[in-house]
Parts: sequence; C-alpha cells; structure tokens
Amino acid sequence: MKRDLMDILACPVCKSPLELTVEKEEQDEIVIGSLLCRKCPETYPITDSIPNLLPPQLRNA
Amino acid sequence: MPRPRSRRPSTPLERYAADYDAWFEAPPGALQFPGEVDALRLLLRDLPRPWLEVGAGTGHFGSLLGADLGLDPSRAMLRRAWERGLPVVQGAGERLPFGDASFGGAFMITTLCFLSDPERALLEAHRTLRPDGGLLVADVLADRPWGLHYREQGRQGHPLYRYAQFHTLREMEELLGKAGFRVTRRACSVIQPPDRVREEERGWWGVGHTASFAALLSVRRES
Repeated sequence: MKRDLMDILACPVCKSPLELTVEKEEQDEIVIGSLLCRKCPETYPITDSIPNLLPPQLRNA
Repeated sequence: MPRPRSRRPSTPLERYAADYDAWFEAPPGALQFPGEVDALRLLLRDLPRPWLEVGAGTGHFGSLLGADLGLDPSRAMLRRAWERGLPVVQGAGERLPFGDASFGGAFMITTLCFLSDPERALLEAHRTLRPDGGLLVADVLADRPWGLHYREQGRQGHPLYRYAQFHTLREMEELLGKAGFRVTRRACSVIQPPDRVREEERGWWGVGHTASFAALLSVRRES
C-alpha cells in the first residue's frame, strides 16, 4: 500500500485513526508492516503490500 | 420478495477467484461484460473523486472504470486485482475501514447480492461518502432471465451463486432509500436471455423490462 492511504484509513470497528509501522518498504510501496488502533486496541497486518483490515472476528474466517 | 437473511458476516469467496475470473474471459460473460461496463460508464461521468469499489473482487470492473481503491474480504481475489494495477485493501463492506466522508464515489458492482448484510454495507457507504458524493449500485435482477438462471444454478450447488441473494429492482431501490440514498439515474444491460447470447451487449439509459442487469446512481438524501 501507498503511504497516502493513511489519509483515509480508519479502524473497521471504532473508526479511529490508525498508527502505521513499516517493516519493509520498496520504492513507494509498503510491503510489510502493521496498523494499530490504540482505542480498541487492535493491530492490523500489512503483508505482500495489502493491508488486512477485516474486523478481527473475520480475519481467520 | 422478503426472505430471511443471516446476520453472519459475508463469506469471502476465497477459493473461487479463478472461477470468478473465468466469467469475464469466455462467452457469455465475455459478451456481457462490455455491456455492463458501458452502462456503468453512462452513470459515472460526473462523479467526484476519489472512487472506492466495494467488493472489487479480481478488479476487472474497478481497473477498467478507473477506481482509485478496491476493497474485498478475499485475499485471493485482491491479489489478482492488485496485479491489475488497482490499489486494494482487504476488508468487509459492512465494516468499512475508512473515515467519514473519505470518497466522492463508491461502487458496488454485483456485490449487493453477495453481502450478508446489505443494509449495513449501504449505511457504511453513506458514512464514507462526501455530501456531494454518489453511490453506484449495479446487480443482476432476481426476477429477470439471468437472475432466474443464476438462482437455479445456485440451487444446484454452483460454487459462487449458491452464496448469492439477488434482489428485484424494487428491492434494490428500497434498500437504497432505507440507507438514506435517493436514486437519480438508471442504466441497464444484458438484454439477451441465457439461451440466446449471440452478440456483445451495450449499455442503455433506464432499466427496460428485458434487461437482467441494472445500474443505479444515488446521491445522499439531505437528512
């Protein structure tokens, strides 16, 4: 995902803003990282450039 | 046509990305897809950006229509969409991971029928659209030739259509009304019935009685 996506991303449960942590970035693309909702609290993973923002109960469905 | 509906979250069509993609690549899907895109383009002209596609699947519609972002619960589908150049987020239409008023346009193309809670997904679309934004909902109609055909295939255990809950045009408009939308423009395609698909379809203004595919552009009603 691109960094500018952070302008609109929000927690799928409480809609609070998310905090980005980048583990691997190639050119402008965040390949591996995570998105933290401090309010819930819940961490959403970014893997293979795609953030997984499914609500936690759906993540492993 | 009221039907009981499960409140469980939408089932990601994870295992069927290849089946889903195959529809676009061979007749009759390959003859219908251009007509559906044509109908959608009639309605998209003045929609402000950015555009979100909810239920982007493998990204055929989104990449061709110029969506800015695609969302889908299925990782396997999204991988294909991403490879088509569409920026994507894995998520559920009923719980959109976006702030209020993030988008100028939102699309749900053959998505409403696969949502387990379409009412909630429409409310989420309403929340994430700007006041001047528009929602484009398009689907196969339950009571038209192709809707009847897919429903019969679903009853026989078709891997995708067994999960689909198609709506009539009236049901679609009622769902949109309940979620705070007002339909302003309509278009259609897929005029040839299942046993007579001979030529490439095109899009038409309005929803004629023989059309199986309806596209509705809605605006947020003043609250």
